[in-house]
Amino acid sequence: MLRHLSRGRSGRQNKSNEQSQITGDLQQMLDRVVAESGHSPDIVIRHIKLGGPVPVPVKAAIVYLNALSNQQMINNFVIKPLMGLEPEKVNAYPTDRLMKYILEDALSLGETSVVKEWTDVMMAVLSGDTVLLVEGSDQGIVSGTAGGEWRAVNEPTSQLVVRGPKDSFVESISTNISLIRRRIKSPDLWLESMKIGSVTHTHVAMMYMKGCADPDLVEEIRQRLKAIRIDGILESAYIEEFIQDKTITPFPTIFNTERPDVAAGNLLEGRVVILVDGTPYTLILPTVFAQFMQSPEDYAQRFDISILMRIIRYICFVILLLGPAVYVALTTFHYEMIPTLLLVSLMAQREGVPFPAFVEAVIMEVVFEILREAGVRMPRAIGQTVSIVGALILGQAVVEAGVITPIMVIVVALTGIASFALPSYNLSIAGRLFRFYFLVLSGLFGFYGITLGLIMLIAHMNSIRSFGVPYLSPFSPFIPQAQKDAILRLPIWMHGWKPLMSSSQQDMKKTGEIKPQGSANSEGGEQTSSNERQKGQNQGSDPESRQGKQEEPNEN
Amino acid sequence: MRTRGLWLLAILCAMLPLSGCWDAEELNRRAVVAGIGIDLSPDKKEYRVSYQVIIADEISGKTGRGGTPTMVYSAQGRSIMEATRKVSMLVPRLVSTAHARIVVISEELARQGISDIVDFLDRDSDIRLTAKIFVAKNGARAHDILSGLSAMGKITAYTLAQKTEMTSKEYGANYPVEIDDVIRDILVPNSGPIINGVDILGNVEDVRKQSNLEKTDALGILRMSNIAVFRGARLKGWLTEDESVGLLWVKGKLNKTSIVITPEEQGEITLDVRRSKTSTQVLLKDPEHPVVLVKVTAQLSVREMDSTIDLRDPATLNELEVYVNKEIRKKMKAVVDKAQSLNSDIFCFGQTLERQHPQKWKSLKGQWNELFPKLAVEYHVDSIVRNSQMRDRSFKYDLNKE
Amino acid sequence: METTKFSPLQFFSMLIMFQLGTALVVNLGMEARKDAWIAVLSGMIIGMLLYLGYAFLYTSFPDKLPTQYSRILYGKYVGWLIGFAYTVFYMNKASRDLMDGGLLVFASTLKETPLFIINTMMMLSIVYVLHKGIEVLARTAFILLWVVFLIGMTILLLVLFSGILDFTRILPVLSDGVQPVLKSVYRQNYQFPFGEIICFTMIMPFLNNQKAGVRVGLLSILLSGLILSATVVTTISVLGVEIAERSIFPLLTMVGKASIADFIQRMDILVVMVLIIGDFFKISVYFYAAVIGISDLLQIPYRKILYPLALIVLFSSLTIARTYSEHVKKGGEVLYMIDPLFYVILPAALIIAALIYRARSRRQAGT
Repeated sequence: MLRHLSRGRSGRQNKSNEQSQITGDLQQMLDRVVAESGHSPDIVIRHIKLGGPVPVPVKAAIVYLNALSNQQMINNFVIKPLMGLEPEKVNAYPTDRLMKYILEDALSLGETSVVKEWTDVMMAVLSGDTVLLVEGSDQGIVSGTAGGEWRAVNEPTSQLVVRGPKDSFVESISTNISLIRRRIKSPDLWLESMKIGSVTHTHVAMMYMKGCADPDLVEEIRQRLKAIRIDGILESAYIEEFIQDKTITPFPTIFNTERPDVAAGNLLEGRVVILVDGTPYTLILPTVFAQFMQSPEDYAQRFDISILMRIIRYICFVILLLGPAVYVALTTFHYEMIPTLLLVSLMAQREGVPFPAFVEAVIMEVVFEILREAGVRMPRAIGQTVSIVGALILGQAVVEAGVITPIMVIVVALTGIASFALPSYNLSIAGRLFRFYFLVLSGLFGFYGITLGLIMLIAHMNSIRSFGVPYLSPFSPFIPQAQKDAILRLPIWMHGWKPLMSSSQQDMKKTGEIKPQGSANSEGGEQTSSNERQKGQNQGSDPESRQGKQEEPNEN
Repeated sequence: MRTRGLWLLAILCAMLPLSGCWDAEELNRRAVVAGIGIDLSPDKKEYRVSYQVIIADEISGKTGRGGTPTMVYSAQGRSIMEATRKVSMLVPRLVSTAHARIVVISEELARQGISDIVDFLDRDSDIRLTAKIFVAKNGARAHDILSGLSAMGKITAYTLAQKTEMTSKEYGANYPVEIDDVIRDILVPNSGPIINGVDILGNVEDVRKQSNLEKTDALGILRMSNIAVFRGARLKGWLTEDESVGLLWVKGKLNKTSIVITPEEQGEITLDVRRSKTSTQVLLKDPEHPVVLVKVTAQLSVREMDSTIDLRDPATLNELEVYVNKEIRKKMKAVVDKAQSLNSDIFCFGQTLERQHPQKWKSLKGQWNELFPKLAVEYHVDSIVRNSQMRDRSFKYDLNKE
Repeated sequence: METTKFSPLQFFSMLIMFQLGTALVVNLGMEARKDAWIAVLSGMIIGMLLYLGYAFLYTSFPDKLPTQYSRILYGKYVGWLIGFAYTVFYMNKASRDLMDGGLLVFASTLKETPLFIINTMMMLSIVYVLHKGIEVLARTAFILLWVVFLIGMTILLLVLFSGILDFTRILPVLSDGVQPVLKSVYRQNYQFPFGEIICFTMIMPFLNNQKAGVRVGLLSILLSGLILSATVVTTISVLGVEIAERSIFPLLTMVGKASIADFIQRMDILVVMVLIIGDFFKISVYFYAAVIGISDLLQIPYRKILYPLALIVLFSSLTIARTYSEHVKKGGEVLYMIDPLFYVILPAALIIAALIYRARSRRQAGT
């Protein structure tokens, strides 16, 4: 619906694009601003007379968006210096010189630039910057005054740790970049930014460690990002879906995190981080299965304890996949394997229960999913109630009514808990999906079905690649030196940094399989040089990236 | 191509549940059998097969009606399988034998031969080879044995299996005999399996009633009994208790047992065997007449004595050991004599010979059934009294001194 | 031809899975009775020699399929025929192994399920994996090797702790002389499962490391020979040769016998799982060899003929025999009457031709 709606708007915008340059006619320009923004009341136009009481003051105006910019900054560093311009200079200088004078001597702001394109003016205003337009000049000066309200840096809401940094990304991309830069103070940490979304013009930044990340990989990601054609980006997931390798799979092939320390750690391991304005979730790629089993906590605890925890997570994943399936297979196909006394108690429980074990398992799993979904979506205060109702009342009542066997409740609860034990939410969703697949197979064929299902699942996981990196590496293909930080986590002094990626990249190069996705874009090379070392506050007026976007009209 | 493949897959997936889950059997549609009993029918022509079925509800369910924890269903048929199929006329659920822990055969049937039964037990993929085999003794039918109720443990069949394990550990007159042991032993030339006997102490009719459990001394109780000796697939005779212990000595299966000796001029002294080891050798000094040498080493401890001897003195212990050796040898000799009289090589001396002298065995194999009854067996017992529990003399020691 | 490559380690795991596949569970070398383990070991040695021959062919034509170099060596028509014979042979083997696996599952756990459905399921998963290519198969083999290893360890511990091992049961060694052993080797043990690795010649061109690949193959034969032999020893010392010899799936019975304290019991389903996994790879490799061969011979893209050939294998598996005995008997006869043609004679002919070819091309290069 969103896309549909926004497409209509974009059409209108294109039509009004009759004159792309700034003209010297100040009043016309200001009228145009007002017109294009639909007389929006939050656009502020402040008229200023440059040079004050001189005979013929130069007319000028600043334009900014009330809600998005920092008023204090505009008052102190834009309006105040403009008011205090030396009158004789204003009088003496021609317009061009005057603009230069304002830019170089007057504006006491770090971030300023000169624009000529009309779209840049609108973009600057909409980003919260302040545009200075001067009568008679075909240039505008943009001052970086973006501000406005953002959520403050809080504790992360997902991927919690007991020990470790407690900050998390927020919706502001510049804050997020600063959170990463604060951790890695190296000139090798490179940043490229672009705007994606023909309507939203969302800032998307790509960060990587020069010399650590594989240049081919960086180039590949750049190409894929550029190939994105969409109206709006509201969450990093939009980008994720566009750039991931095209394989039909429930498994996440791009890692996401809201923890700056995780992002920084992955940067150091040679991965690329993509930050998207407006969401605290950053993308990390390429990724492998093992990464979803790692928690930042692993590096904060003793290594032996971390190994135990990781093994427990793998076991949890297996329980999540196979728990109910094995229960169904055991009770309906392989009753001979159940210890006799347990069998007697199971039989007593099943006595009088109307459903077959398979149906029972499906019902309970679905109920469990409903409960979880309800608990997640409800307002936090009510969410608690839902879990109490679900766990206690429903669980107990269902057992007491003799509709479901108690052991089934235990099995379902176990798989539920196992799914929570996984550090990554999107992997546990994939696991939950596959649980039903195994349930069906075991309901039909018992362990035969489970075994075949397992083979197919492993083959499926083996066929997935994330930006050319096999999903199951370093297990298969087996990379011995990467085992130090896969299931195991040997002491940090034993593996140095970049344990996982560097080696799987080598493998990737060996097999020569970076699959280009979509049509290759040819202008990536020059962009790298132009984008070197941008400071991470504002890339609002980066002409290169926007051009790259607008040139190709073809949709994906 | 891809979509076509997907369609095919989708159709197949849709078909699978339609055709049903053939092998899925819910637990509440199974009658889980704990023990199987096989008798001859009254007219001696057919088998009468009894199944002890677990009534799970009565054991741990909430809906129990106060009935017995197990029920015995039996049916007659010309073969065991036929009888099993006929049981379905009595039982509403699928008779599932994978958890059967015991198989009881009546003595009458055992004397006729058990090869048919053994083949069934061997072939069936549900029945496990670890099920223990028994012969019902003293006129009890296998059906009666399965019907018995037991105070400890609700499933009688399992109780019986546990009894076997317990007594073979503690007393050593029985040892667990499982289906595969029987199969292997039947095939040994001139030999046969040995199978534990089981009988009912007390009233056969009372043992199956729930009232049996309402008195502290039960009206009837299942008891592990002596060992039955087979030759081939036929029961030939029973060992006595002492012979049974001797058998375990010879076969080296003994864990613990107690030995009572009466040294001259002393009272009875009881010793516990803590550990023992048996090795059998076949000596071929005279090629036509092999001699079997059974070597036993045993560690004992003094448990009880009605005597004043001083156990601090190693010489006294040595004396005791001599008596113990004699006692052990006596028991072993008794069983060897019995086996020789029944002409059943239950100790598998033949196999020992084969393993130790494979070439010789080939020439002797044919005449083994003549050789075995006359086989010379030598016993070499070496026992050590390791300790005397918490006291080194009897309290009577001081009494004696005064 | 696909450009995918796999590493020696993955090749090794595929080979192990392939050899253990069905051989682990079925009655292997029991013609030699107690000395089956010797028969297995001797079969292994012959298998290693055969493998060296196959490896020689591979090193002579490291990037060509046997169907390709047979045409180089024996001319367009004869070579094509040889290649075609091999692919048909592989198809036959694939359907036989499909039947083997189906029958075991049928006999052990799914007694009511139609065999057709069991085989269809197996074939579906094989097609699914092969559709993704040989590289995925190879990588999957590596991971499942760990699964099988874990299951094997579990079984081993189970058997050890339940105290049912009695090694005197394999004594006396060679009581009837070497005759039965030789007979068993001749009739069964070198072909099955060691000679069967001939089909890996169809896969070896995808190896990314020629030398290590060849070495690793030899190692895998050694390892799987030892594992098989040890399994036979364990089975006989648990069950005794009397039971093991008559058993259709001795390993299954053996594991069924193991139990610890009434709690862990009847773990034979683990054996079935091992068999399913092993059988899966066996069929997959055979089937892949056949598919790649036919796609080369008839110049049809690999993925296009995958499905039709899968249907052929599926249906021929059902028509191959009516009863288990017939299946086993036919298999046993084929094993020593027809199979040597493919394991020994044809490869030998190819080797000789390759030697001549090599000598000739060297002479040409020299002049």
